[in-house]
Amino acid sequence: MSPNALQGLRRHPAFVAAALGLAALTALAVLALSGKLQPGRRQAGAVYYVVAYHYGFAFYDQTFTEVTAMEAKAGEPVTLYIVAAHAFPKETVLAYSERSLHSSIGGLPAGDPKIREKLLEDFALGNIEHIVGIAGLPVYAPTNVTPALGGKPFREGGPRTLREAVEKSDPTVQAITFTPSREGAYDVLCVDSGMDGSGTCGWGHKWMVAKGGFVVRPP
Amino acid sequence: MSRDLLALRPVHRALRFRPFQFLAILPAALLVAVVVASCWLGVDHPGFNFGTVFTWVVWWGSLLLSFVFLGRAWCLVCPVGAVGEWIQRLSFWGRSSRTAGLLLPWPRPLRNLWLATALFLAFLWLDNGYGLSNSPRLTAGLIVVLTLASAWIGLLFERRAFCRYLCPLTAFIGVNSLFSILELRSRDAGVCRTDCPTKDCYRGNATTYGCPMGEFPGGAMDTNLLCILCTECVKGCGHDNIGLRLRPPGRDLWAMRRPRLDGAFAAVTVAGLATVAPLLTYAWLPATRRSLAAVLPAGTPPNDPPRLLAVALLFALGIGASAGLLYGSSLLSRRAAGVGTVPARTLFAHCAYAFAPLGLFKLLADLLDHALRTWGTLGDVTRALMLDFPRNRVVGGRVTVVQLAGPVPAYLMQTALLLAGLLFTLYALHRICLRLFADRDAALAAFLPMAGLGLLLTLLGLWMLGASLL
Repeated sequence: MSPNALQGLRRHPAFVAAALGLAALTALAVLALSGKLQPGRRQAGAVYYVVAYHYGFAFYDQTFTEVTAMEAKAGEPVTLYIVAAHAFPKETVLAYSERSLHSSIGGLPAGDPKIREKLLEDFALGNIEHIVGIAGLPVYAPTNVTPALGGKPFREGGPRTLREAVEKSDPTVQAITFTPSREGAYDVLCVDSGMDGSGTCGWGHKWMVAKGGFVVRPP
Repeated sequence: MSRDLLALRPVHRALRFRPFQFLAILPAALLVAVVVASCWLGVDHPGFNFGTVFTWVVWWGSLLLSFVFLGRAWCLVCPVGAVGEWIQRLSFWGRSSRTAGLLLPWPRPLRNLWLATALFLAFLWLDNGYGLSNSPRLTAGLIVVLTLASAWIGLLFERRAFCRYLCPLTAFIGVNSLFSILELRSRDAGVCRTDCPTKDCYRGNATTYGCPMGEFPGGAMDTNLLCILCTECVKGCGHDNIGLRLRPPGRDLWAMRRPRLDGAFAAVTVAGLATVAPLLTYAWLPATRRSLAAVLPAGTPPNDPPRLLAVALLFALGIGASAGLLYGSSLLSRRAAGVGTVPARTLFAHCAYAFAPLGLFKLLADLLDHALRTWGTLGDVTRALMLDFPRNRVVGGRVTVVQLAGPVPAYLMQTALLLAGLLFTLYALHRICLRLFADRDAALAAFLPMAGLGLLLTLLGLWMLGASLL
């Protein structure tokens, strides 16, 4: 910088101060926008695993034992590991989907063979992703199983069980950590993908709700 | 047929109150801060994030409506532009004796709307190609980048150079505000010419600043194109010669004395982006993307180079075709008028502005459909925001879907809006032709090709709206 320029800047102390402040803010913004400034994650307390299938959820505790509802204490951090059923082999996917045949979905009575038809139709259409949310809690996790399928209708060569998927850090498993603060029973649901209520996983999406699937107890 | 709102004592007192603009900006600034926090920290889903729903449904819709009733009123309350001004002035409202700004003059070759129009196109490309309005993080990023740009420009250059020459929305807002029923002008130009040697509205004085947009309300300013309604001139005028008038809609379109080519091109861009460009993207985007995928590496949207380039090419084609159609109509008008006195370029520059209502009402028609279908979401996201304020990480539950009108009534309302836009355009074109041609028959002959173009663009708009029904 030339002496004249330096002298000029000395005449404008307010400019120099403002420019330095703005430069710092700009640097912060660049770091934030480039993803290098992420809020720190808290260590998890309770841990649960959620398998999202057509058209429901299966919850597992830390020992991979299936539970009817996940439970946590208010103020305690919870980590959910979320995965779509399509991360597993075909027989596992179909086994999970069979559970839907025992429920009334889309105005059809439980056990109606049309439910299976619709299910297979969704698979054929590639409607295999879900967006797992818990109403009223900061949980919003789109599954990401499509790349692992490599264009095939079902996954080949992937983990055979949930435990294997978790232990091998399979890329289809998403983790989300949050701290519930209010006691109550919250619904776990597949979140709509559009503002007009359009679904993401197909025909039975609207019925993909686990009523009171997440319970927050007093601390 | 106009009414001066400044003749009303409460309005007069409010607008001359020094902190008026700051008090108007403050709620908007708080809201924008919540939007940025919500977009940056909240649910990464456009339909569940308060910031994206508020920005792209409520703010965008209100902005379009405000053009009709309030002109550039958004600029009055815009905190993005205000940041640059506050840093420059080292004051939120009072006239400060110090400045942090270097107050450099804006480079002469850039004193026009060309750069702003290019940035507006870049903004639309980001939206259509990169899904800006579908990404909470990109929405937050856009607001942050614009605010920092405004701050830097305010620090380096005089007045509101960012708002006048760089803001990606300034050309869009300015052109559409010509239609407004509100105008801020001198009451008596003679007073400004003969009785006012100081021109405080432009230069400022010991207690007020000159026009931040570099306009001279007492002289050359004859349209809303660049008036941000900051009311600095109302406070600065020692002759109380500034009026805020209600007037018939669209008067600027035909009353403009010296239409500039940069503004005319901005007007064509706005009209073309609302009519021709969506048609081209609707018809040719998949095929163009496929062709480009043969030479460019494909990716997953939004990071899909062939799609990004295809959108850019079709937009360029849409704008080029719109400008070409208008220039072609100008040549036809000149030939039809049968007199060689008005060059096609002059016709282009005058008539381009008249197409602004067509674009504006097409955008309003698009918005109407959106508002009728998705307004329930606003309640959902506001509830979710309140549950986790201001971080907005909470999913409220199922989306509330309330269709306020079925597809057919909605289409009829959209048709009515488009026809209203066409009527205003035709009326403005008629008045412009009458002013440019002394002979009424020549004016009518010159009017017809332009009216034909207006009709063609309206039919394209109607077809596009109808196609979405199928």
